[in-house]
Amino acid sequence: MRFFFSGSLLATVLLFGAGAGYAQTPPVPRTPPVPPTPRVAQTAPSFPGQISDTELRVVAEQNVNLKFCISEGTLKINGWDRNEVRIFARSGRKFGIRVLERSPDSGNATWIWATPTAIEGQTAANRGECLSGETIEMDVPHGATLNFQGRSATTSVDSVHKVSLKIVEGNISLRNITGGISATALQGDLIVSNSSGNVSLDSTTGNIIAYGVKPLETSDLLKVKTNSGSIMLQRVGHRQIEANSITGALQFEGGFLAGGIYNFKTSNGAIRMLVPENGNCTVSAAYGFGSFNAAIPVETVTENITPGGKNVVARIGTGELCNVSLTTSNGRIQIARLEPKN
Amino acid sequence: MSRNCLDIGTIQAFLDGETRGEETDAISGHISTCDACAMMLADAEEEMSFVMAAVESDVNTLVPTQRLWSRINDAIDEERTKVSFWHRVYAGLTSLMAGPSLATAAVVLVLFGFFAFIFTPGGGLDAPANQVVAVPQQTAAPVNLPSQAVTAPQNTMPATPDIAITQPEAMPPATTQPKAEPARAIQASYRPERAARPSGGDFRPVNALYVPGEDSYLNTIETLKASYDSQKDRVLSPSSRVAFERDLAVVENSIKKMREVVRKNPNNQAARQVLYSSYQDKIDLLNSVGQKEELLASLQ
Repeated sequence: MRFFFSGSLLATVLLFGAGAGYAQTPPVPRTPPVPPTPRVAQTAPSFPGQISDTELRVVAEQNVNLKFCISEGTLKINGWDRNEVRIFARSGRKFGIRVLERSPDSGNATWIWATPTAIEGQTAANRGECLSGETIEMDVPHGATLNFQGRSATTSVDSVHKVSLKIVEGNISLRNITGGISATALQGDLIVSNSSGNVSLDSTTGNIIAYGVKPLETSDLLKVKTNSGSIMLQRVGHRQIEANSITGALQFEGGFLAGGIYNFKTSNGAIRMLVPENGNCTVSAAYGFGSFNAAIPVETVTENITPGGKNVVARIGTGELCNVSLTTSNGRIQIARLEPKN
Repeated sequence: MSRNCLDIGTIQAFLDGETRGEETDAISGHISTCDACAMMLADAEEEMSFVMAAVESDVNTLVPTQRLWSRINDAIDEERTKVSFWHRVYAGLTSLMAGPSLATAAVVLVLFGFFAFIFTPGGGLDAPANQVVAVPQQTAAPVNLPSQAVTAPQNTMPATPDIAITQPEAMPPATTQPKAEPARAIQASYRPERAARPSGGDFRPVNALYVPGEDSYLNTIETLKASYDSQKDRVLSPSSRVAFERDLAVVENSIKKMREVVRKNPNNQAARQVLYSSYQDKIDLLNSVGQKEELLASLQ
């Protein structure tokens, strides 16, 4: 019996000890994982002798491809008749021209890359790949294809074959581009004139103006989009056009072509069509809280006017040659007469 | 030198430790009083240290061999005495149980643990066998909600009563679901984070009746919106962000208004077309932020 009592007493002490220990043990907080230290982007340090005027030339084929990147500056690119690429940077970083590919027949460059050269003390990381300068001028063959990006650059390109560019900030002017355009300006206006081919113009906050633009082939598409800018299309020869602006206005001026498919959309902006009254096109206008007004003779095919959603289908002429779709939520749709020029 | 002086043999034996106790004491006592014998002892020690230095290498070569043998022997003895863990546990328990008090304590602890397992709520034999079924009952709860329960989130959206009535038709029949307790149903169904969202283009009402294709637009927008939220601070400058938010607000306003129209009249094709166009505008807007980040990243 003595052993029973002593054993029970021992077990009780053990149980209370274990319970007290469990109760007093604080919960171990789960330490969140330490986030990795963000790698701070290093700004390119300036090096003595880095800023200078640089001019380089390289013999190239007519259909040479040129790629480069520009961080800042005014960029002017012109096409010329020589089989040569010349690049001049005023008050800019030193650069070099790398010939990535040559013609097996002539040995001339067919693909070149303009990139800053490394100077003493620079690594590949802080050298970057973008040209910079107060002014950067390029003379390239007329048949050249340009592919470049830029951060802050006012760009003008004239008389080359094809252009593909993306600029974060800066206005873009493209003229006499014969083989197609793909241009993106996040903050800046886009102006395209006297060009042909497949054209895609995209801007976030800038306006877009395209005039004298025509296709190379029948299937070439003109695609224009901006968020808060306005769009103006004048004397456009494309048969497929997509134009979209969210808060900006949209204006089309010119004739509708046979077999054309035209789509114009805004969310809160007005759509204004200046077309000759002797055209043959079917216009479908869908609008929510805006209005529809035609200042030229149109024949209304169907009209569904309900609060909040209106749909009007009308014919200009016989209406059998092309289709025009106009969509807006709050904007005003207007079709006006384009006076024939003498 | 006296007649009692020690000879060199005795001194050498003394140095080698070959003399016995009484003889060692006598030699020590004599050397302490006899300078000649002390000189002889010092000479003998010097000679001995010289000899030992000469044969030291031979002596040391023997030591590792002896140590190696001793290690081997120790290892053999350890292997002989090595027993398994369970043998040691058994031996320990046996020695513990030899004490009556410890044995009684162990029995009490075992009994306590057994009864604790039996009578613990939610575990052991006290748990009901059908408790697992509670999970599907909670998931089926939204079907059994009373109409008052779902009207709370509708306060933030322009829902019409007829749409609210048509909502149960889109769901499986309530009779096929197991009947759940009302309290559990309310806990499982209400989603305050959905209802708290501001009314706008990205607001996805729980009970909305989507027009065909609207759901895919909303899914895309939700994905892009999450991406935009993570990108906007580092991609958009303050001025750009103001312009962007303004455009987004315009589009969301259009979506909101057109959705009301479509709800009231689902057959209004023009309103649908404008609604889809507004959704696409919003997708393009949100997508432009990702494109900008992509461009900026390529220019790094």
